[in-house]
Amino acid sequence: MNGVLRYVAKRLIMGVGIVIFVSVLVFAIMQAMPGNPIDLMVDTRVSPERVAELKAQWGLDEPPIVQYFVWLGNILQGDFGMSVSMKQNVSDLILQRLPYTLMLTGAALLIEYLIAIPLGLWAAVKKDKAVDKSLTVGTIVLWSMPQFWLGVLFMLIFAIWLVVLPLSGWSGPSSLILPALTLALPTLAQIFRLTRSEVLDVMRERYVMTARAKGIEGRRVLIRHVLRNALIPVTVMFFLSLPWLIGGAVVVENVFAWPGMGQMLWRAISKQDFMVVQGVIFVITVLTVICNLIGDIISGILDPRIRLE
Amino acid sequence: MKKTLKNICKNKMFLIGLILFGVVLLVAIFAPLIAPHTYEEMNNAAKLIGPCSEYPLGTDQYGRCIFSRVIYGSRIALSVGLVAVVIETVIGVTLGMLAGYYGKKIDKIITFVTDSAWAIPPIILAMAIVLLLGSSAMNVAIAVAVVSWAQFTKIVRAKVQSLKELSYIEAARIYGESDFNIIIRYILPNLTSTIIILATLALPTAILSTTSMGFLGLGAQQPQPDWGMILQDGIQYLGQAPWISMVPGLAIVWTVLGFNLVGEGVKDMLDPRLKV
Repeated sequence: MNGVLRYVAKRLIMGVGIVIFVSVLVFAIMQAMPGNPIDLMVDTRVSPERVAELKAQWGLDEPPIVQYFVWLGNILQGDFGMSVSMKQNVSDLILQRLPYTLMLTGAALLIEYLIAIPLGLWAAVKKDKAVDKSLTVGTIVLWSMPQFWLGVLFMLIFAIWLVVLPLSGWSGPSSLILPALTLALPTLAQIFRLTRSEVLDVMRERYVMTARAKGIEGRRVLIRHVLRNALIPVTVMFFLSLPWLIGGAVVVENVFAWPGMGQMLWRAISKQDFMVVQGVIFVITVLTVICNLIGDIISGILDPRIRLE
Repeated sequence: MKKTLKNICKNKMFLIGLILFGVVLLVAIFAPLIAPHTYEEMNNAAKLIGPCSEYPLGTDQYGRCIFSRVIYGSRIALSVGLVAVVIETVIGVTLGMLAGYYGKKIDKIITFVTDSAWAIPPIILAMAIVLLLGSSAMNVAIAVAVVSWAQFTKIVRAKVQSLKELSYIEAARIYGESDFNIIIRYILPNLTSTIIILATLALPTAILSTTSMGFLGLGAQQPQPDWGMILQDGIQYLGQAPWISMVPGLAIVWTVLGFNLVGEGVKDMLDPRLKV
């Protein structure tokens, strides 16, 4: 147990380090941007004195290092600063939008795993048969589809031609269907392949042969012995794939005008609204690091060899 | 050689991928010969018209030929994707070799940076970098490369760690060869197949990322025919002129699928056990 604790502690420190590193990186990028939000917001008639006054009011006249530590200190107290373009607390904005992004990614993950794991298992059982081959090709085709195109295709078919689902935005649970499918379908290829290859690996193990030799019924061996062990890496993948999914969510949210963090982030980046960009990326990085940590811990507990690294 | 050819023919997926890819390559090279119009030619009398003999795949809101724009767009998609992959390969392989060969502190620092790079959704960091550099096709390539080298580093590092223990490398070291020589002359050649696999598999991902950036308005600017941008422009006319968005999307699927199939085939032939 001691080993597990030490491993977790090490990972935790690493995670905090990553969050700090990423926040410095993002801060530096935002600082290096040409212009600043005040110059972008006010028009040329505003006097230089007024601009300087505004900058002082938003704390933009301090040296970057001071600005960074002020920002970091405030974040630790739950204050993400003010959005220059939306004139609102960034923490309020994030809290308004985070549930929508979590809902979208959560639904996508659910769809992905519910489809990919059974298909992966099926393909592994029928290895090299027609089913396996067509599933493999099918998932490569899905994997090759850009989410922004798939989303627009779904909009065209289901919202414009058939008029059975809402076109965009949020107007109740039915709005979730198209964006979630768009996010899930291209990425399920990875989980499908992982499930398939892990199941194939486990099926070669001696304990599976033993179970079969003992005369345990085939389906039971498959579920109890094979799937249970094959799903360990798949579970870890669940947590590791999150940044990709959130990245995809940024694009999908922009296709469907989904009121989540991705859409807000995109608008904030184009308006150079530093506080919003830094805040959103900070939250996303923390979420990612937590998920990676959970993934690492699970694999560390399930597979003691990893702890030694 | 004969055996390789036989292998290629046996691998149907690879063959199909090669054909898809070959078509895109030919289209990109001979774009001016294939396209009936130039990518910027506007026709006020033919706005948003559907496919016809003059405009095989219809026109957009300025009366530009979608077929011609998508044909010329292949040049942007291929070159931007290729540049991105070259840059990320160089960054990723160099860092991976350094981390794997030297170990200790260097390894720790590089691993930490790599882990950090994994922790930010790539497209978000790429968006910020393009805004910093300014919107253009080449800046998109740089941004995508800067966010996607981590995969190379992780795999190359592990590979070098095991190579380092081989006796002939040990011998070279005892012999007094410099680290640089050992890395370039003895380690790098052993990484060739791994790098080829990783790079071919990275290309379709790079094309998806770069066209996503175009879709978000960060890529090549009007009137350049960026596939992602054409698709974005078509959304507002989706009801009356769906071809504007559908055609460039299909072009992306075609290209990316071709590369994915080629990549799978290359992986099967060179190193089927490599986990990517």
